[in-house]
Amino acid sequence: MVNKSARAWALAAALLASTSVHAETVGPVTDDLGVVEIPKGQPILIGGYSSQSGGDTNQGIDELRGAEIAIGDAGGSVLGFPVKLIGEDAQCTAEGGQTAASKLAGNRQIVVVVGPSCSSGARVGAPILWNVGISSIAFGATSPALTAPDRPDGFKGFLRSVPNDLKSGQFTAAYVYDKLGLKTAATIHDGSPYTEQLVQAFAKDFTAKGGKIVAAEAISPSDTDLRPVLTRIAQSKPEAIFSPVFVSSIGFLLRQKQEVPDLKNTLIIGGEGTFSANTIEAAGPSIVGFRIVGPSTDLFSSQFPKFVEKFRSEYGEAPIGGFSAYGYDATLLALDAIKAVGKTDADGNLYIGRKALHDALMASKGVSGLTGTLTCDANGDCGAATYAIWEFVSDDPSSFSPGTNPKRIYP
Amino acid sequence: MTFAAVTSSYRLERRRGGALAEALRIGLFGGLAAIAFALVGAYTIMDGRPVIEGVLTLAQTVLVTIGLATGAFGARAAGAAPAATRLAHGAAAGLLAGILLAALVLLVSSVNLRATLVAASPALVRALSFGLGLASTRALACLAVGGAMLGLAGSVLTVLPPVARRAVVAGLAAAVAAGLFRDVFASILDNVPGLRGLESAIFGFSGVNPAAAVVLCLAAAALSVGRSALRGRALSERSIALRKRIGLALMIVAILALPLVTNAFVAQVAMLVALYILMGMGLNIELGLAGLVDLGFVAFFAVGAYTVALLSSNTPFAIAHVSFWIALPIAVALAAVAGLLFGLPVLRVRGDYLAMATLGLGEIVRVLVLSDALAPVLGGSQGIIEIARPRIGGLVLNTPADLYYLALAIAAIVGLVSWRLQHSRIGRAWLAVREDEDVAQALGIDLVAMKLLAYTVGAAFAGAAGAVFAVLIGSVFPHSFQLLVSINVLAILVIGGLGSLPGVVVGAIALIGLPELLREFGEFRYLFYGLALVAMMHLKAEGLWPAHAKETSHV
Amino acid sequence: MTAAAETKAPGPLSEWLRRSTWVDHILLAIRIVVALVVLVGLVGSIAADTYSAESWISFIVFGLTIGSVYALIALGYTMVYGILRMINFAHGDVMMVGSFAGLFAANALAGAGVTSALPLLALPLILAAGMAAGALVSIGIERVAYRPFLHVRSLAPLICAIGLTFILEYSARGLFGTRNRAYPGFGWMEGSVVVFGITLQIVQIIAFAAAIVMLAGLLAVVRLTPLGKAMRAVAEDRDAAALVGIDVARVIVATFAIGGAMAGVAGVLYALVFKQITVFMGFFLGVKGFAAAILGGIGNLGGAMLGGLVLGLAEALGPALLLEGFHIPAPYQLKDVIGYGMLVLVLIFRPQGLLGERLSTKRA
Repeated sequence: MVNKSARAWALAAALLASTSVHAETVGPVTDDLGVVEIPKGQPILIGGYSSQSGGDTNQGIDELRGAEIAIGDAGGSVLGFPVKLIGEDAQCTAEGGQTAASKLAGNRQIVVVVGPSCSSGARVGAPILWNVGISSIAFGATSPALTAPDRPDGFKGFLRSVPNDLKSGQFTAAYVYDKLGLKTAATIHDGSPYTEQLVQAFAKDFTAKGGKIVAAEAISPSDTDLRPVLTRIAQSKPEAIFSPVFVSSIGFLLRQKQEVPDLKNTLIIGGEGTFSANTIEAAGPSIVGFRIVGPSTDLFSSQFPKFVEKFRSEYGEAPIGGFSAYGYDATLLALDAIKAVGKTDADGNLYIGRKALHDALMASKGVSGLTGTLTCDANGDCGAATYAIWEFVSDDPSSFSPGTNPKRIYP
Repeated sequence: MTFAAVTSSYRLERRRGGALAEALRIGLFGGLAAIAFALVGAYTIMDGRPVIEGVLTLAQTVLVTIGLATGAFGARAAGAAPAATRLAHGAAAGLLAGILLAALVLLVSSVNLRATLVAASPALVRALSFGLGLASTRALACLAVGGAMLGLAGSVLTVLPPVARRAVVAGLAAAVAAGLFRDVFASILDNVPGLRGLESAIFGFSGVNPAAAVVLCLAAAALSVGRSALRGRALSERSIALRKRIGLALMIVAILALPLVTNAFVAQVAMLVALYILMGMGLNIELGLAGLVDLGFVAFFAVGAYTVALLSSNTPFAIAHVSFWIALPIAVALAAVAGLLFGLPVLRVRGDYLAMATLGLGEIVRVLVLSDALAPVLGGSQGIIEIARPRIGGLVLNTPADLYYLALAIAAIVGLVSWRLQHSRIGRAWLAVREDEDVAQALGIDLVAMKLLAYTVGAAFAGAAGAVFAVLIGSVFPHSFQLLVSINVLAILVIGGLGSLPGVVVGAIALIGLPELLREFGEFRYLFYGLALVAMMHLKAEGLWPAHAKETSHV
Repeated sequence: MTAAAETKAPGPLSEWLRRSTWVDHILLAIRIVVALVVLVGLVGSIAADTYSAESWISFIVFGLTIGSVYALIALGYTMVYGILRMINFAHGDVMMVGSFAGLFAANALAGAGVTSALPLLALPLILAAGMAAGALVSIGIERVAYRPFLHVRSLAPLICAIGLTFILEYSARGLFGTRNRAYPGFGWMEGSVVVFGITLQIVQIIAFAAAIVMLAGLLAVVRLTPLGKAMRAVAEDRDAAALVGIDVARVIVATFAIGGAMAGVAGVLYALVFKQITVFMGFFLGVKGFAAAILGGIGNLGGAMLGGLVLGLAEALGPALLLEGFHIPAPYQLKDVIGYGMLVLVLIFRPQGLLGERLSTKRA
């Protein structure tokens, strides 16, 4: 094993020094990017990086917990080898992503990485991992640039289980303009790249259809008094407000909307970040009638409640935001790919080729994940990306169950 | 200065009870510490991380440490009592702590507390039952007896002669450190020719192997005994100075060789440490020398980073496409100008008022950079990406190790400038301003000029750090410029020792390096960071490497 | 700046020019620029005529509500500062702990049926729980971060308090979970009343009234009780106070306890107004409270109150009043710029804060 890992190191160094690729053969496997050897009885290591401190803690912890549950559902093992998740804190910053990714890249036993939560972290983290041949599957980084056809080579190893913002923007605009027939809308983002990107995507598609964005506002995640900004929005009398902000802010927004007379009947549409029981708790009675854009598939409707139950019994509270399912799905893709390419030798040691694993990931097709059927396209977008509008109908947090509360109202 | 409290000769004495009562009080605290550790959820998470493969997990290490410390302090409370009494007291303290933890396990297993305490889970009971049956009598007894044994072991430490005590502590610390920093040491073994074979001999998949742990423990103990023997001899002042110099030289060698013998991650961490050293030296001028509390220091860092981004990015936000070597001095200059501008209005504000005013200015800069209003110029929350890396001739400084050397080189220059300034007339004038503004003014020091200079120079240093930061990440995002950065730099300065340049280095290593290396703690990283801050201040209130004694003694 | 008033001949302007330094000139320039910006912004905003009179009144009510919360937090800061000349940086998180204690008390009371049976008794009990928890944590902070450093001059207490901030936040996160907690409301508190044609939420009135009551209570304690007398003595000169037989340690502990209790009240009231709490809410509210205390003049109880209200008003009104005129996109994102900007300006031109005592230079 020593020699192997030393060889892998040499290979990594060679990869860094020159772009020429030397195939490596270890045991029964030959691979252009290197081979991970897992001796019998040792665990398969999956890396994970997400926001575990700072303002986005909730989301990041949810996602890694989702990943843990996916491993648990697989019986904690693949091909007879125990699977272990090594979680790192990437905060929600570029430097956090860089440090966490370097840490994971430094461990040659890591087969594949799930994460990160934020696009800023993915932007610097994914190339670092790919540089040493590790593929990464993001569960929260939604920026379109990361899977654009013209993305730089460093991102070739980047995939994601979470859908790209552009698709969500198109869907939401179509719903508001075409389905509801509303012509004016306001947007609120919270200064995070994620919400800003979603708002921009929505605004672009909504305007293209002929709608008008009458107010484009921004808040800060630490704001607690949103009534002034709502009062301002009320002046331009939008028919709908699109605000994909997170649980805390949406709680304040929904509750305080009641106190702004002109907005009493304005429709508020939120984002996936609030697809959780905690949103009900945060918003209280004013949750009723709140609509969010969320994943839509029959798989999601049937499996998600069970997942929430497992989550609750394992961690003492239900998922806080809507992203834990993507953590689950990212891990599912990883486990499936490992299953497909792992080869054992006569002694029972396991070998996984990095390039082969990457190819298997990119070729993932029809994997039934929690959010829907996952199929990866040529640019690494694997998210089911079929959306629905869900409406909350009850203010009892324990009634949270996609299908009944929130209810799917479109399509 | 008001953050520095008004001195008072008044000291508080705590009324102490009898020795046994005191020991039990310590046992109570030990038990509460263990309970807190379990209930915040850290135990179950850290239980998955082996320190010594198959023998000890990280969670158990913490628990054992708490037990040993409880015993040691419990025994110490008995003062000069006979050894047997001290041992008994230590064991009693440990027993109490163990019983408390056992009581917690019993409580958690029988009552559902999870509506309030999310970590009071079956998994916790499972982990703390050590496979002896969930909350069974055997498991609970094991906790109580284990507590007593650890307490006894801890108190034995206090009874041992100092040489032996030091040796035991060093041995244990070495074994634990090897397991804790496995990745770092393993990567060193991997990179140093001839040592590769050792990696699998010493380290397992995530911790240190038991046999290797024993060897390391013995080696460290032997080393410690050797050192104690050396220390026994009286040392002349010259040899002390020599030793200091050798220590410094070793430190410099270690700093230079670090990224060469380790991996990209350690280089990355070293890089971050170097950045904070740069910022720390900047704030050292403001706070350490001139006594100006600045909680908005991150603003200058941001100015430096954004200047480089705007000057050398590959995106439409760029206003020019110059190389890093041209952008760097511009960034430094602009940061200095920002420092001057910030300094101007707040010159008349002192102490806490200054802290708040600078905090406000720092937040204003962050909010502006993030705002939609300036997004067309600064990129808003999406930041500015694709910043060109520095080149030297045909060589692109691309890896963390390259950029580490860049930061190190800049830090060396800045350190030199700092050192020269500190020991110049200006430096003395700053010290005078720090000590007493009125006296300084009476001595003919131009307060305004001196304060402004401190602000400008400090800001320029932070601007240099920001410039390197921008090329390190290759992109700048407003979220990198939080208030937390300013607080971190301030903490580095105080932990290292105000006004001390080596203190900045030591502080940055302690507060930036260690937490980065302890990423395993994941979501509990900042909890331990907070504990470390408090502990360090209690152990060395004047800092880890205080400025020259002459300067601090009468401060 | 005040030089002009002191002499009569030979003309105030030339005298000012003679005596002023370039710093004064720059300060004057800043004044002019700020005045111009404010003027243009004001005129522009009023000309834009975006808001109705009702909206303006709502802004003021919103500002006073959040301002009351800031004021309550600021009272605790100022209390400790007045005695120790030290900032309790962890104060915001004491507030968070108080808030959670109130939540658990409220849940327990609701579970025991007290809330529905005796709705007027439940509120004081919840407040008491918040106050007790706040006071306890605050005493703990004093023990860990301040007492050991009473006799040394260093920034150690500040760093310890910062450390405690992390410890409190992340312990609470581990203990209670990360999710947002809904605060139970009381039926009688949910409604609104109409006063002079203005609709006011009852909780808003309660928050404002509570801030006033707390201020009055604190003033009474400090001015009228023996403890208050001892506090003032310790604030004046700790050594002398000890010499005349005052138990300095106890006075300091009592001060921290009262400050912590204030934070607890602030936490519960905040939660009653804004209905949801999280473990990370303390930090930013603490910073705002700190700003309010400084703005009003730290060490001055009335100042803390005033500072809180002014800061709240600036945040609520500022964007509409100033930025509207400049047609800045998303003006409310910049409310902190206005809040902090105002703070910085006040400090520049009135370095002791709005109502601050003129500290002797030794103390400042």
